[in-house]
Amino acid sequence: MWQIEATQQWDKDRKWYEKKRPAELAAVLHNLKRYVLQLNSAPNAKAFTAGYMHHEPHGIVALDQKGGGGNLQETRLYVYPHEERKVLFIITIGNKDEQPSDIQFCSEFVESFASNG
Amino acid sequence: MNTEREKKAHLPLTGRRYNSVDEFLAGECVSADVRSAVSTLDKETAVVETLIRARRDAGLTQQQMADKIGKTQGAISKLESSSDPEITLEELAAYAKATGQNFGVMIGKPMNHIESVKYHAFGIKEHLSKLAKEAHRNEEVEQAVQAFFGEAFFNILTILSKCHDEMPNGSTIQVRMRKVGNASPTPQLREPIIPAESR
Repeated sequence: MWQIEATQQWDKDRKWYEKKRPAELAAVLHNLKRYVLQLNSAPNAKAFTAGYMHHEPHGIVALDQKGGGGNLQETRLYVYPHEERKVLFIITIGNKDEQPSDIQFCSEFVESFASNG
Repeated sequence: MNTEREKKAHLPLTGRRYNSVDEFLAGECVSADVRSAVSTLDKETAVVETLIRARRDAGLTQQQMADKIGKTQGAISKLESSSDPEITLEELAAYAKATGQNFGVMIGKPMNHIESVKYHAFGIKEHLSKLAKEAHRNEEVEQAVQAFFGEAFFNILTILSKCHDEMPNGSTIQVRMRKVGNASPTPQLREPIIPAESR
């Protein structure tokens, strides 16, 4: 079974989204549940795909808001499945405009994580 | 760029780990409104999630499932990413056959708890009645059915007792039965099994 842990940055993001974009937050969290079900059903994190997930560099996965209803802003919840530890790290959440900087941010998280063990 | 938000910083991990997303949402103090919205969305994919669990329990990957039912892995991925109204009976049947499981489909307004208990009670009655008829075949079957009746009786009473203990005043249990016409002295399922005021 995979465990889940978040960064403190995600905690700040979450508070902002609860106030400004609650429907988008609910949609990506619903897809997080679906993603974790798939993770727990697969031999590894690369053994499955889903319409709401996008593979990004460094093993980062972006979960979008699909299925949450119409008129939602394009949103991405960035997660990193650490295969050896069986821990899914929730890194940050952002919109489509923030995507390049968010992916850079997540890449730095994974790299620092790898170098610090 | 979204200028309303503060610049992101590499803050440490929270140090709190959870075994499920539900635990995570509760532990990280996600608001009740957002959790309720997530729960509403969950209901729209309950059947799809049952299919994913069935595939998992059968030890099949998406690719293996695709091979078994003559589809591509992409098609399985699409199906498992969809919502319940998009699933066809043909797909349900294919998953049931490939995983060796069976799925019951109920269409229409969801039953409330009381309707659901009654529905299952009638189902239990029907199956026990069929088993009782089977018991007439020979002594060996009779003994097996008799043993099962004992087990079922014990289990049903245990379930009732455990659930009743969760009630605010779980120390006493109220049972009201009415004998109807010339029927056997056993309780009639058509009669109220729960006081009317509780319904």
